[in-house]
Amino acid sequence: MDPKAYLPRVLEAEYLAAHDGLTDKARALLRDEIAAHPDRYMLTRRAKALARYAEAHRMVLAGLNRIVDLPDEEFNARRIALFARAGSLLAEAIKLDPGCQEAKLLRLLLAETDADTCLHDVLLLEQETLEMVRRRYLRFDEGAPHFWLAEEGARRGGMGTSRTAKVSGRPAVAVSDGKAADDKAADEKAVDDKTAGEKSVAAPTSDIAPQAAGGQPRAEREADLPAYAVPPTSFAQAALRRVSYASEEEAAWLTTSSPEVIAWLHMVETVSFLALSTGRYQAAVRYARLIMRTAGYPHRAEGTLFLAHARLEDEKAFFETAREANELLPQHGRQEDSPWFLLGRALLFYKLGKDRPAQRAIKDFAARTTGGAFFLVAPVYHTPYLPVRPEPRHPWSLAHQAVYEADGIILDTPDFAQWAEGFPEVRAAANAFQDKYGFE
Amino acid sequence: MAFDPIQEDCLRLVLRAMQRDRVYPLENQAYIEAAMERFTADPNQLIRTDRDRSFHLTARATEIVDYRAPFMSSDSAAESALDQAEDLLSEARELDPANRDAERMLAALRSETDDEYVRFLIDGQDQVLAECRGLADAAADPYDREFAADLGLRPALRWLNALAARTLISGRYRMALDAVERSLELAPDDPGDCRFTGMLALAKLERGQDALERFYDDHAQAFLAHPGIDPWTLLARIATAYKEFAFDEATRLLQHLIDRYPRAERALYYQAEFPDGVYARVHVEPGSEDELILAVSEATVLLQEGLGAPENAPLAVWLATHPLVQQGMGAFADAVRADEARTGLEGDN
Repeated sequence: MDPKAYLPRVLEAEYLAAHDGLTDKARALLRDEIAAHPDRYMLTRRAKALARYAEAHRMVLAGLNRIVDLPDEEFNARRIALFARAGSLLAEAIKLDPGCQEAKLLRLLLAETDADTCLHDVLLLEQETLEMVRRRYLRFDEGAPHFWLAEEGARRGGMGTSRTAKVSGRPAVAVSDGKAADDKAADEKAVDDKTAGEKSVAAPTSDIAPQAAGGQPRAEREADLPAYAVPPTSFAQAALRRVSYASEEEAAWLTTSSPEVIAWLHMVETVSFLALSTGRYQAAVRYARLIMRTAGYPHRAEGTLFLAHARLEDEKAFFETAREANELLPQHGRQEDSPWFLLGRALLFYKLGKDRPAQRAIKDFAARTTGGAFFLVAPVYHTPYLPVRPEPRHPWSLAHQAVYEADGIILDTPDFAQWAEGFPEVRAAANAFQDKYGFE
Repeated sequence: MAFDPIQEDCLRLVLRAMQRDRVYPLENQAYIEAAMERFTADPNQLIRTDRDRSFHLTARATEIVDYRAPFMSSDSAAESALDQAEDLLSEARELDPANRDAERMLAALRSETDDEYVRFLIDGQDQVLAECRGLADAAADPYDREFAADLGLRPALRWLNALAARTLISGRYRMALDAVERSLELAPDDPGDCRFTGMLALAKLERGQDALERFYDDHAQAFLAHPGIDPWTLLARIATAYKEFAFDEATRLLQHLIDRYPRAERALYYQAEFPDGVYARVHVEPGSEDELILAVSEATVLLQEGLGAPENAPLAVWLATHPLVQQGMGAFADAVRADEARTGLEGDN
């Protein structure tokens, strides 16, 4: 998520946390004010650090776009200088706020270590960030459908005790005053009263009770791999817990106004990308699945799922993903038109030895994506994600991303690209694209 | 283990000689030994029919293609050797159009891409299976029955094993697994060691350690024939652990591999790649360094995956630079230096 999209929300949330009882009208005014004069609202070190990060992020992306077409040697020299400049901004951000996790993530990615080292470092940072998120946000819960629990009252009492305060305007920030102690006692009682299956609903109420954080994944967290709770499946559990979760709208606000949560999601996406590029497709699926559960957070995690399922030759999961994404992400248009779906389907059928469907699929990919055939036949450099897929800037951006992400899978299927190029339709689509957009 | 073409040629000729001489029962040790000696002295003494000669030529071609050409130092020498092998195989086919090994090997040598060879194998598999299974029904005497139960099945097994190996290389893991399962159904004792390809395919599909164990248990009869855990299974398990970020487990398995195999560090450091056997997986001594080198070569599909492939793929680098491997390499280097120093001293004397 681009910092400029969520920074105003963070400022708004910080203001709301400090000023009680704003009316809807006042809040709308506040939003306009923040948009017009963000600097006036950057009052905390956290906000200032984020602004510094946003500047470094913008600088790196814009800088890379400027130099991407230069010859290798010049590109490398300019890139190193660019990363160094961004690095000092990031250091400033981290000095201002040692909890500026976004800055730490970008710093890791700019370090250009090998993929395995980078993955290892990002996994550690991801765990640290998750712990921070759990402590900071009482209502955050990896087990909740969109990662957030409903407000305190609903959570504690199940039904009936829900307060009427407008939680959607208020970030659930941890407090360490007397109220927290009360809440803790109440929570403990609530936990006692509930069944074991419901325990994961209990959230930590202060830094002194982190062991309750997130409930169920605690034990697994000590294993090699971080694991995450999944929503309950049995009807009884679901019925009991239903009232305890934040609505999608509320979860969207909470997610996009909480920079540490955004940072954590960026890390999860980074792990997912790195898993895809280091040949760990189940891990790529697992992490992309977390992203699929977010609300209000822009992503194209279904693209990762299409490619990973195709590589794992899981036809059922592949088409299930299309169905699910059509339902969850209508804003992405029909998934059947997405370059990830079209390329993934061609790979899938090719790998399964379904010749005719594979032939139709690759022709479809060539006909229905802008540039897909060209990028497949003549791979074009794509700057690495910093940290997530950039917003599409050109008509061919999405197809370029899809082919770039599928690179390892295509190489793993050595005859695939040549086979694809053998179809006149694919060759013609690649040539037409090249002529139209002037690619070399 | 694996299929030894010379041995198989010998067995076929000895069995046919017994059939001609009406030697019964088949376990006539003295006759067999005498016939085998005649084979060793000159196989032509036993060759009587076009079919006999056809397989004999196939075995000779296999010697060249799988056991000599890959190790020739000059490309031109290897090329002319392969031309010679192709001539032998063409002759074998003319002598016996039902010689499926010769037909298949010619297709392998003449295919431009893996895809083309895979297509050939898929198109022919049903017929080859039917032919080999049909031998038992058509068998009129104990010699034919003996042939149908073992030697006669082998061309079909090799066909399926080639399909498994080539689909694995061409990135079609379910198809590979499918071919492996069919081969194991046909011959649960798995004389061609097809199950090793199955292990690699399961790891590529990331089915997890449990699935590897289940596969091992399901085909325990075949797996247990190998002295100790084979290197394919260990490499598949290492890759699976590595893919799951279970680095400690991967290291433990690596240690196991190093303990089991002589000079394992070198094989894991150099990760040499050899072309697949065209006749079948080449014959190596179980538990030997050669076996590990062969397994590492076949596991290339696992080692060279992802960013930086082929030279700097993550798992390939992880293995080659692992402290266990590096220590081993260091120890070898020391030993070589000490050896050189000693030779040097002796030279002075």
